[in-house]
Amino acid sequence: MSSFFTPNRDFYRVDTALVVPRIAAEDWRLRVHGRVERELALDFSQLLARPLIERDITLSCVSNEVGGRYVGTARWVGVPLRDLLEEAGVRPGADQLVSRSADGFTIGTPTAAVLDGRDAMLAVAMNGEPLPLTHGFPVRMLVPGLYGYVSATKWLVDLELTSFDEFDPYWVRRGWARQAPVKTMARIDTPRPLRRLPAGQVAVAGVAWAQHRGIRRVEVRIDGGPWRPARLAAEHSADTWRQWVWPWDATSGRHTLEVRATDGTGATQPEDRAPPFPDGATGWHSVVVGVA
Amino acid sequence: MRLRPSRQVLVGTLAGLALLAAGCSSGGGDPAPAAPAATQPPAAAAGMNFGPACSAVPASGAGSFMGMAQDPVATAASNNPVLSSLVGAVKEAGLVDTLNSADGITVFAPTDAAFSALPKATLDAAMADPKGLLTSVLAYHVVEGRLSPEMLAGTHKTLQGGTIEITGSGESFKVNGQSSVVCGNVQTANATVYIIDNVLMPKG
Repeated sequence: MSSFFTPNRDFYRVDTALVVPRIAAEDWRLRVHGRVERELALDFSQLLARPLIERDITLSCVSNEVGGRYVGTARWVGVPLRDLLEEAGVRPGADQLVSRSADGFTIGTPTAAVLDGRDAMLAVAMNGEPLPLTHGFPVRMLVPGLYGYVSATKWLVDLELTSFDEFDPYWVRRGWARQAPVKTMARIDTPRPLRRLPAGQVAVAGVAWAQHRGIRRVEVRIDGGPWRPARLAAEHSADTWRQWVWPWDATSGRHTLEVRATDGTGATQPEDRAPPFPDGATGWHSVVVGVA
Repeated sequence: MRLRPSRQVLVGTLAGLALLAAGCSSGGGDPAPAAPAATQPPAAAAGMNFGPACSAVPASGAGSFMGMAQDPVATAASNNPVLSSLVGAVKEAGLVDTLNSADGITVFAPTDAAFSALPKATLDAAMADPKGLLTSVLAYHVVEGRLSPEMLAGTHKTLQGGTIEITGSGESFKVNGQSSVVCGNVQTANATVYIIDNVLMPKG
């Protein structure tokens, strides 16, 4: 089963950076501009001089297939983004926050999500160390509950308040959805697919996530039979995944294990399969194993 | 229990790292940026495909060699025009997630022509028994570990339990004496694929 925190060296990396931007912290600047009352410009020491928060957040990629590995959880330290935007004074009608990476990559985030009280932040540290270069050094954005491609800008250098009508960011231009809250998902981590297991007690375990809604219930079924509730680890926060385990009395033969999660609003994952494009995959993860 | 990091320590560390990043030109510990690093990197270099049928693989898009290298194996196969019968069988057997989630496997993938060449009775029997016969036949095409071309020749245990025998060398290989590799060493995110021209049938 996955450990609760994903070590930085194992944390998934998905981006378009053929060459990783290298910005010295002393050279880093952030500009906040566009539809604001006042423009802001910060250097790194000014950013660190602001009150810092520490939050555990699970981040997931929209291109994650059912059962995929493009999801991870880390402890992040950084600056609350809402406070920064409120200092700039967001003008009415500025419904899209466009963030830019040092290499020109753009991401669009609903301003409402950044301002609604969730822990949207500009992160400077990940799992107890400064952001690794490949994970966005020196500053990246995080907005719990949204897929990375609409929220998690790495190598952040520019924040512009604008509107959805005025600008299409990189992935939206390529057909991906403009708005992309994370879809509820569960994954079986053990037993591994196509394993041959001995008959008897087998721990079926994994993780489930629905960032910012939380996970209320996880259920497992064998060979299309009745759904059985799994035991959940204590909820850390609504912004992180939950580990789960279900003890299975495995009988001989080949068996299909399936898992589904219900989020904090009471909505259960739909069975039907949607591919990752354009706004995230759906489906119950299934694993086929053989029991001796 | 949460420990609040000392801001002094954090600033000191970040300032120190800044000097390092500004001054150094070599890569330090950072990998060359490439495709998503979520799963293990391919065992053999992408682009070293061989075989007469490789030209049938699209030159661009999700079904191209580069496109397939980024996707897990069942998804990659679904984007490949010569593997649609296989993809249909995998879906029927309920093995899509299982194949996509497996860590490091080798898949011998029969072409659509290979499926057409099967006696109708055999194919019907398999499709009528998706969790039994069909799953067995498909699992007979999967070997644990990612086999590079140099590792192909010899006997390999399949995930169905039975073995396959591969003969040949270089760019010419036959499985069980009757199925030729027509496009080999195709990389996907979690599997190395060898496209073959006959469906393999497990014994018994």
